[in-house]
Amino acid sequence: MTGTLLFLHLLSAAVLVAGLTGLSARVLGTPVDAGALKVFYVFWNGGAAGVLIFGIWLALNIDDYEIWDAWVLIAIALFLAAGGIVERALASYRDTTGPAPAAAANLHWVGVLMIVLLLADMIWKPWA
Amino acid sequence: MTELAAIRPDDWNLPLFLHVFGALALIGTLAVAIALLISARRERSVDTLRSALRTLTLGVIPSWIVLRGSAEWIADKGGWNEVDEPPDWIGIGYITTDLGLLLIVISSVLAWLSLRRARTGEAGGSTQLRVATGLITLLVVLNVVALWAMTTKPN
Repeated sequence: MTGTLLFLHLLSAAVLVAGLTGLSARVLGTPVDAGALKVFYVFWNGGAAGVLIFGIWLALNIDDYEIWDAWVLIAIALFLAAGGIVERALASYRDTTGPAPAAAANLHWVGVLMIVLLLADMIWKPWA
Repeated sequence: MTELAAIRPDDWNLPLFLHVFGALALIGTLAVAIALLISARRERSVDTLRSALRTLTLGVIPSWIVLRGSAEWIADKGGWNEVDEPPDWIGIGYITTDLGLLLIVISSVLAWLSLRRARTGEAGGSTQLRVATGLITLLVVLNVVALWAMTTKPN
């Protein structure tokens, strides 16, 4: 059960990162067409839902971990903050062509950095 | 897996972080490469094809290097390289990554040949892009199988 949950959690993370990479390509000015951008947006949201659902399920399933462990709470906080930031950045370049405006691009990269920090939190598990 | 995670030595954290980061970046850049290859074929756009080739060479290949290098680092720390018969999940991981490099190189060459044709105004190149897209898609599927093997550890 734990192995399957971990697989689904990481598969969701891969889908989320695929979406985020697609949005990042668009931010950099890569000619991602509107249809592909929609798919990447669905990946970003669908992956995020899977990461959250299977991540919490995992924390509940493993005896050594609790949902209120510091590293789990840090992960949820980073996850929600990154989601909000990437969405806010996306609103300012979704309907345009060419590279994203500098302010939106900066916001997007802050969101990407938070996702990387989230991964680091998952591996190092501070205060676990 | 859970027990392994709980007793995992702290000095495994950096290679494991790089391994997961490399795997996620590989999947992400492969997804972008697929989208650009499909778009380039449909729109017959040289710019999009150039971006697809750039994604393969500057995104996919570095991600593969991080993934493969960190896998070797973890295997070394875990002593898996000194075992006569390593577990199946390690074998699946090695086969996927090593075959993956071959698929990436072939796809990149096909995309480059197609770009060269498009630049000189030659007809064709669509089949090459179709094959490159198929190979990259196959690699994504293989990576999902490897992810399943790494997390569920059959046998």
